[in-house]
Amino acid sequence: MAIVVRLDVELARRKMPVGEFAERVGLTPANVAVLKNGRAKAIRFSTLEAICRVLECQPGDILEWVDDEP
Amino acid sequence: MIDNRLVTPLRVLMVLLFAGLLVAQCLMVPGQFHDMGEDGTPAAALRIPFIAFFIVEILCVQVVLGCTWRLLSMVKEGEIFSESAFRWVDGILWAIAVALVLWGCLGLFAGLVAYFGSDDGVAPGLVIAIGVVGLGGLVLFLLMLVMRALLRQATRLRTDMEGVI
Repeated sequence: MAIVVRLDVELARRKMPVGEFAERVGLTPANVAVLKNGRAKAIRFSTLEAICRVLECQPGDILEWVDDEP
Repeated sequence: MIDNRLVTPLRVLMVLLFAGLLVAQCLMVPGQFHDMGEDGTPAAALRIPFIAFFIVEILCVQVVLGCTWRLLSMVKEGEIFSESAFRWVDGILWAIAVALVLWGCLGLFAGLVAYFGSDDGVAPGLVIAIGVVGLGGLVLFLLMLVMRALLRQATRLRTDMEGVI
């Protein structure tokens, strides 16, 4: 996937455990794992909004485009 | 979620229909064709093929009913939009296809007898009736194909939506 979710970096900066993050955003731990592993295919704006609110950051801090075309 | 007030009456009627078909299959069809024609005439030689033909035709309808029953269970459980539903839809399609091919053979046979046979053989009206029923079956078959494609689309949409976090 050319879009990478940089959740680890933001979580480390806030020193927030994954469990607390999942609970505050309202995601299941399984879905958080999917996001972190880069296996997510789509994300709701409402989920993105909740993540930005909890991590106090912008979508651009979490999402990054990487050119993976050969 | 589908209302149980819809599923339960449908199931009761399907059981009744299945039982009626079973009676027709085991008692009425053999009884009807057992005495067909005089012994030793060509018509008498057709007794067994005719009995077998109608038993298989009814069997096809029973297969359709069985597959529909399974699909109805999946609808009730909310699992209809999954790959396993297609097995039963394909079962319905195959059963209708077999019944249609056999019905076509019957129509062809009746048509030939009506055209070349003696005047007191098969009435042309009967051939037309067989043709109309066959046409109805064909419409049903194509309609099932459309419904299968719709199920395919809905299943794909459901799978896509489940991937959204």
